[in-house]
Amino acid sequence: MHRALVDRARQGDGEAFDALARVVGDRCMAIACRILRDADLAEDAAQAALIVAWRELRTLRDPDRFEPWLHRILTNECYAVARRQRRWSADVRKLPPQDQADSGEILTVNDRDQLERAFRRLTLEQRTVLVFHHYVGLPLSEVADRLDIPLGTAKSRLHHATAALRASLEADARTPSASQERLA
Amino acid sequence: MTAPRDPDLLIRAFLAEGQAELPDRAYDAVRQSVDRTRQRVVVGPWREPRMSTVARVAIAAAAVLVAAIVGFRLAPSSNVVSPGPSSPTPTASPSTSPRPSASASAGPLAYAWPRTLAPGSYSTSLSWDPFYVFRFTVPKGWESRDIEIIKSDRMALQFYFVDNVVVDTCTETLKNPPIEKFPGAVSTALSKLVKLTAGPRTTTVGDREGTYVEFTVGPDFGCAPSEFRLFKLRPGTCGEGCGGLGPPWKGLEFGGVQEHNRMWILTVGRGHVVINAVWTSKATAADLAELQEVIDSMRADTPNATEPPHPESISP
Repeated sequence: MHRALVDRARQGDGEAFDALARVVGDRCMAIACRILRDADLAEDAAQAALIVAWRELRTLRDPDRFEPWLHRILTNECYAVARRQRRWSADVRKLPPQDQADSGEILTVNDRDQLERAFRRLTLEQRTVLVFHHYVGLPLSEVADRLDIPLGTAKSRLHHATAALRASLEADARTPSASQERLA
Repeated sequence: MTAPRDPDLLIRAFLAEGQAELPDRAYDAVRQSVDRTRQRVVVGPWREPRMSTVARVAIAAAAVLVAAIVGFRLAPSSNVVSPGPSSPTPTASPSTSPRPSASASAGPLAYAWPRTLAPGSYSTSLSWDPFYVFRFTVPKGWESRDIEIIKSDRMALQFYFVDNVVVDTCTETLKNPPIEKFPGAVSTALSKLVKLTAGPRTTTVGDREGTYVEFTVGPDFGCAPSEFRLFKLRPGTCGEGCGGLGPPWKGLEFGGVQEHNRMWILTVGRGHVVINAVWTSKATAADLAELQEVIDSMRADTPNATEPPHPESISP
């Protein structure tokens, strides 16, 4: 669907790439937000990914694979941004909920809090598989391809991530606030 | 009694929450980076991901054999003289000492159309063919378009492949059989269409043999200016939906006014490459001096091969 813009951008057309970025940028932000759980970091990662995509666009062999290719770049940028956050801060910023009506009736406040804590205990790699599978809606084979990991690794990461989140939903009590939440 | 809840549904609902819009400031920052960042050029066969070591070594060896970069200066040989002084024209003779080449770290590709070029050095592929790259330096006021850079609607520098020549400047009827791929074929055909004011003269540009000509067209074109034709150009390869390329013809550049042309026609294995300086009678002496500066700044990077690779080996 973006083939024409990708083709033009590969020839150095900055206007075409700008238009392309505006088509895919929001989705990049959404994915990065959900991986990093921090809007500022996600913005940095999405912005960096788009710039890298422009610079490396001529290395993209198949223009129809632009989005998967971009998502791989985005994932790497998310990891890089997270690594630059050297230590966990007690000021954990929650993402402002949006489209509350879509999920508010499903999630209770307690659910949301438990899931947030559990999610932050996941590794970045586990979060990434979870986001691409459950949020972006990709089958695991496509997730593995997009992240350039073996299918078995994708399955394993998804299994552990899902198990951890399910366990948090089944917990009877909140965990102490000094729990070890990880960015990387 | 509450119904059991689906953990996967809850997880999806949790993931559905959150910011989903990239702020405008990020888009602006990306745009600024695009304007000042050159795309990495890939020349040669594509590499497969996770290539074996053997394949990597083989390809590297082939690249060393084939792709030696040759920089050359766009200045005709000394036997070219400038035309009579009836009107100011850029000189064809090279300066006595070679000008320093444009910065090796050229700026963004010029072929984003239309785009105003900030003063500086640029590289551009020839008609979207990444195998032929020209570098040049422009001052303020130049703009890039599909096959050219242009200033003030009075002067332009164009780069294109010629596929064939028309038999009449007011038709699109092409020479049959098409022009052959030997030096002088284009200029010979051109001399039957327009009155040459200089040349054809054999010249060598870098490692390429070429022909140099000068001619003027108009104001009497014999047909509507929009119908005037000289060459059929090689179509661009930028793919479907690549609007704004324009029809693949070389005709008039500035509409219905008299145009002066200075043309270097290089013969390469796949055909004829043209570098064409065009200006109108409204161009001032300062304009022409500036055009000459841009011409003098040109460098070309082409593989030092007797025959460039066929299109199939170059990815679009």
